[in-house]
Amino acid sequence: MSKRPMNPKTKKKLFIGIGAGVLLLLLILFLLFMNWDKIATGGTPTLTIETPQKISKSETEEFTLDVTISSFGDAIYPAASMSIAFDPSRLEFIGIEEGNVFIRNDEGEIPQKLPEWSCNPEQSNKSGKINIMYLDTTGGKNAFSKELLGTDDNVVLRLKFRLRGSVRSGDICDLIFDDAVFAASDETESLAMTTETLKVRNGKIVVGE
Amino acid sequence: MNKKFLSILLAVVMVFTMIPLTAFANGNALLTLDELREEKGAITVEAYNIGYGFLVEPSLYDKEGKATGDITVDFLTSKGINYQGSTSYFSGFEFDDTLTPDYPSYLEPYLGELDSTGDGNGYLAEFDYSMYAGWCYTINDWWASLGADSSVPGQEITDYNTGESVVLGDVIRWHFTVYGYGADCGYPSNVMAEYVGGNLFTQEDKSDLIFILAAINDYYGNLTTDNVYETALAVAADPIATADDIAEQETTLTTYIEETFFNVEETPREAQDVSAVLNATMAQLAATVSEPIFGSTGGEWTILSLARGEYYTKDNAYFTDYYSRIVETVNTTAASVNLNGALHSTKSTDNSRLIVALSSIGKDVTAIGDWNLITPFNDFTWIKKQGINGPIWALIALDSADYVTSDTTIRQQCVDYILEKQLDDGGWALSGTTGDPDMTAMALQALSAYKDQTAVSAAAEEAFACLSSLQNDNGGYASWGTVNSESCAQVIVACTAWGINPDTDSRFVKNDNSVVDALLDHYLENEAKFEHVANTGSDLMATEQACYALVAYNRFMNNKTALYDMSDVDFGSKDEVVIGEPKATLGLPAEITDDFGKTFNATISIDQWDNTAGYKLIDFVMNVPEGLSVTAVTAGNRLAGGTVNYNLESDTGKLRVVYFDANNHSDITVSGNAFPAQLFTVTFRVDSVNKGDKLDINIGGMSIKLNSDSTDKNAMIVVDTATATGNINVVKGISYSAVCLYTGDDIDLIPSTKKAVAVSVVGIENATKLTYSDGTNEYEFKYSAEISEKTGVATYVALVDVTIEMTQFVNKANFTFAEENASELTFGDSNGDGVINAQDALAAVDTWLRKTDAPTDDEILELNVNSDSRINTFDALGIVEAFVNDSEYLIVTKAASLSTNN
Repeated sequence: MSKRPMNPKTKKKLFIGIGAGVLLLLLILFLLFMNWDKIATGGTPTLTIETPQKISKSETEEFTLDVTISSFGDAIYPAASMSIAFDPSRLEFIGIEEGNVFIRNDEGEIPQKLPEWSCNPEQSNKSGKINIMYLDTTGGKNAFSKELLGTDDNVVLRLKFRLRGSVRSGDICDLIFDDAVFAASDETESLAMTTETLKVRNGKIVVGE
Repeated sequence: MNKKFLSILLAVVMVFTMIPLTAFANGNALLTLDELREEKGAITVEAYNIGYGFLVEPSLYDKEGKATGDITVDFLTSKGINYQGSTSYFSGFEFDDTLTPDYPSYLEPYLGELDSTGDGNGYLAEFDYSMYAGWCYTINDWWASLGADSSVPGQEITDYNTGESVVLGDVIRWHFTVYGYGADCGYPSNVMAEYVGGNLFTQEDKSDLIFILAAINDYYGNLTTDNVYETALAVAADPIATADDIAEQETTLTTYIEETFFNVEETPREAQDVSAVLNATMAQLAATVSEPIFGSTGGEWTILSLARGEYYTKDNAYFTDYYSRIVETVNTTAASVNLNGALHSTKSTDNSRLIVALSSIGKDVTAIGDWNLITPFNDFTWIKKQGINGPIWALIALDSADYVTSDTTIRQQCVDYILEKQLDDGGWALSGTTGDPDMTAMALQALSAYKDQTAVSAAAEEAFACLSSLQNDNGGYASWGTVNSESCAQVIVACTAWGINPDTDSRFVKNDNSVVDALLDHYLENEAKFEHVANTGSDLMATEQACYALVAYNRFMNNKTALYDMSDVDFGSKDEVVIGEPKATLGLPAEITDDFGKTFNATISIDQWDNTAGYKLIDFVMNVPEGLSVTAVTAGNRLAGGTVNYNLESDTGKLRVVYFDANNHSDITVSGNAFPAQLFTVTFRVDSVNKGDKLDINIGGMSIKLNSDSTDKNAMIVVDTATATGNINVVKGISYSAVCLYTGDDIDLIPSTKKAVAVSVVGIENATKLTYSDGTNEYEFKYSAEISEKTGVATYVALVDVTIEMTQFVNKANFTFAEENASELTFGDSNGDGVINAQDALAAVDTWLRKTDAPTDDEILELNVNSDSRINTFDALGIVEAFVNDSEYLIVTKAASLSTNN
C-alpha cells in the first residue's frame, strides 16, 4: 500500500511546529543555564569561596580567593562570622583583604564604609581553621544590609594564601565552611548555616604543574 | 515767556521741603562704611550760592526704593522743616530768607541781577534773591531733569533732557540756585546752563564725601576733638573745592572712622581669681565624701582635688585612712582579677585613676599591698582594650611621677595610638567622626608631656583649634549634645597642662565669656557644688571634676606644676619602678578520689608574655608527690613555636618539662591578649593514694630562655613560682569543692543579689545531673565541659543567691544526683545552638544595649565570658577574641585556677 503523500499545507504546519518546539526548548535551556545558581540554591543567600581552576605548584606568590555573598534578606546584619577549614600543611593562610561589600556608616546611613574583620592567621595556620568575625558594637549602625550590595560580584572579603613548598601537582586543597552566619538582632532573621538560611559553596584549589 | 519757561523748569526740578531723617539704630555689630552704604543713602539741603553752605548738614536716609520727593519729605519732617510745593516740585523750604547774601566769586559778574534779600516770608523759595532763584536737586553727578516724584535713587531712568539712560546714585543734594537755571551749581550734566552760556564753574563730585559726613552725623558720631568733621564739612560746603581737597577729606574721615570704631584695641582680659569658689568647693567635698573609697565617684577624684588643691597635707588622716582602705581593696581586687596587678581585666583606667590619686598623696604605687599597679601597663593590648581612653589615661598615670615600665616602648605606643586616632577635625572621640570636647581635652592632657615631638605639637595645634571651634557663645561646651560642666573642666585642665590660660586666651573666650566663666556658671553658690547640666541640681561627679579643674587653674595662676605633674610631690625614698618578673600560677582540683587509674589535670599559667622578645625555650620542674604518675604534658592552645618534652624522675618525683623548637629554634609565642594565659596541662594518674592523704604539688622552678649562652645574664628570665603551689585532698566517694566566679553589681544586667558559683565534684561520672537544695533555695547546676576538661574534675556552674554561704556548696547534704545527664552550659553560646559565632557576640552587644529582654540566669552565665560583674561590650569583644584566636574565655581560666575551697 502506497503512502499517501502529505498535504503541502500540513507539511508546512508540521515544520513550523517542530521549529517552534526546538526554539522553545532552547529558550528553556538558556533560562535554566542563566539562572542555575538561583535554582540550585533555591534563592537562599549563598556564601561562596571563589576558587580558580588551577594554581601552579611553582606559584610562590600570595594569591587571594574572593568570598562572595549572593544576596541578603530584608534584615540588617550587625555581625558576621565564618569558620573555614583548610589544610595548613599545603596552604599557608596569610590574612584577609577588604572586599567590596560595605556596611552602613557611623550614623547608620548610606553612604557607607568597609567593615573591619578580625582574624588570627597564626592561630589559623596552627589549627587549620580560619575563624573570621565582624562585630558592630553599636548594635546596628555599622551593619550589613541588602541596600549595600552591588549588582555584580559582592565580595565580602578576600582570603590571602600561599602554597606551601610541600605541595605536589595534583594535590587538592579544600576550603570548607564549618560555620557561617550573618547575624541579625532577631535571630529568626539571621542568615546562618545552622538553620540553612545561608547556603555555602566550599572552595577547592587544584595544584597544577 | 522767559518767566514761564523758568517756572516749568523749576516745576520739574524744585522742591521746598525738609524732612527729618528717620533715626536709625543698629543693635548689631557696627557696620563698615561700605556695609552702611548698602543700606543707606545721604541727603543735603545747600545754599552755598548765597554763602550759607549746608542749611541742613548731610544726613542718612533708608534705601527703601522711595522716590526722591518722598525721601525729601521724610527728611524734612524728621528735621521739623516745612516746605512749599509738592513731592514733584518743591518751591520753597522753611529757612530765613532775609539773610544777607555772601555771593561766591563766580557770581560776582552777575551781582547786578541779584538781590540782597528774599521776600521775607520765612521760606527760602523761588524768586528769593533773584528772578532765577529756586531749588534744584542732583543725585550724585546727575543733574535732575525729572520731577522729584519721578526719580528713585539707585534705579535706572531716562534723562528728560538727553534721552539717555542713567543709573542713579544715592546722594541727593538740594541746591539753591540764584542764576542761570543752575549754572551757578557747576554741574556738567546740567544742559540747561547752556542757555546762559554754560556753567559758571565746575563743581567736583562730592557724593562720597557727603555720604561719609552723613554717616558720621547719623551713625558713627563725631567723637573727634581736632575738628576733622568740621574741616571736611567746610570742604564739602565749598562749591569750588578741588578734587584733591575732597579726596583728602574723604581719606581723613575714613581713617577717623576705621581707627575710632573698628581698630579698637581691646582691653586685655584680666584672669580671674577662683580661689574663693575653689576653697568652698574643697571644703564641701571633704565634708560630703567623708570616707573616700576606690571608685569613679567619691574616691580618687576627690583625693586628687584635695591633695593637689593642698586642702590637706599628705599625712592627714583623711588621706592615710583612704590609703588603708585602698590597700585592702587592691589586695582583694587584684587577686580576684589575677592579671598581674590589674584592678580590672579590661579597664586599665581603674589602675590609671588610682595611680594618679595615690601619686598625689605621695604613695608608692609599685607596692600597694601585695601588688604593683604599674606592672600591667607592660601590656599594651590590655591598655587599649578600652579604646582611646586606655592609652590616654595610661600616659597621664605613667607620667604623673615618671613611672618606669620594663617595656620602654609602652609610652610611645600610647602616643602613636592616640595620634592615629585623631579625627579630621583635629579632635578625638570615643566613636564617630566629630571631635568630642571631653575626649579631645583628655587626649591633650595626655600628650602634654610629649610636646617636644613634632607630630604631637602639630596634632595639639589642630586639637586646640578644634576645641576653640566647639566652644559655645557662652564659653561652654556640649558633649553628646548636652551642654555640661564636665566638658569645661576637661578643657581647663588641658589648657593649663599646655601652659594656656583658659580664662584669657582668645581661643577660649567667646563674647567675653571664657571657659572658666562657663564652668562657674554651673556653680551653685549656696551648696558650694556644681551641677552637671544647668538647672538640674548638684552632682557629685560634676563637682569633683569642676573642683580639680579649678585646682588646675589655680595652680597655673600660681606658677605651680600642672594638675597631673606630681614632680612637686614628696614620695620619700621611692625607688625606680621596674615591672616585675612574670609570675606562674598552678591550677589544681581541690580533691580527688583514691580510685586507682583515675586521672586529673593541673594547669600552669603565666601572667604576662612578650611576643617581641624572641623567647626560645620554656622549662620548668614540678614536684610530684608519691602515688601519682604523669600520663601527659600538653601545651596550651595559645602557646606556639615549640613542642613539649618531659620526663618524670620516679626516684625524686621531679617532673621536668621543656618546650622549644629543636629544629628551627623558632620564637615561642602566646596568642591572644588576655592574661593569665595557660601554658601547659599536666595530666596525672592516681596510682596509690589513700583517703585523707594531702598531695602537695608545686613548681620548683621555671625559666624562659632567649639563647643558650649561660654566661649572658640577660639570656634567661626566671619566672616567679612562689604561688605556683597547691595541695589536693584525697577523698573516698563523692566530694565537693566550690569557688565564686563573680558577683553582680547591678550596673550592667547582673543583679547584685546573684553570684556565679562553680562546683567541682570528685567521684562521679561526668555530666550527671546535679541539683542543689538547702531547704530554702534550689538550683539545677549546669555541667561545664570546658572547665571539667581543664581540671579533669566534673565541674558545674549556677547563678545563685548571693547570701548563700560558699560552705553550703561543699556540703554533700545539699546535693542530689539524677540518673539523666545534666544540662550543659557552654560559655559564649548564648543561643545554645552548639556553635559560637557572630550571633553570640551580637547577643552580648544587644543585651548590653537593652535591645533584648533582661537575660535569664543561664544567659548571664553564658554571656559574662570575662567573669566580671557585668555583661557589656567587653564580653562581646571577649567572644570575638576567643573565636578568632581559638582561645578559652577568661572565666574558664579563672575557674580552673581558683581551686581552693571558699
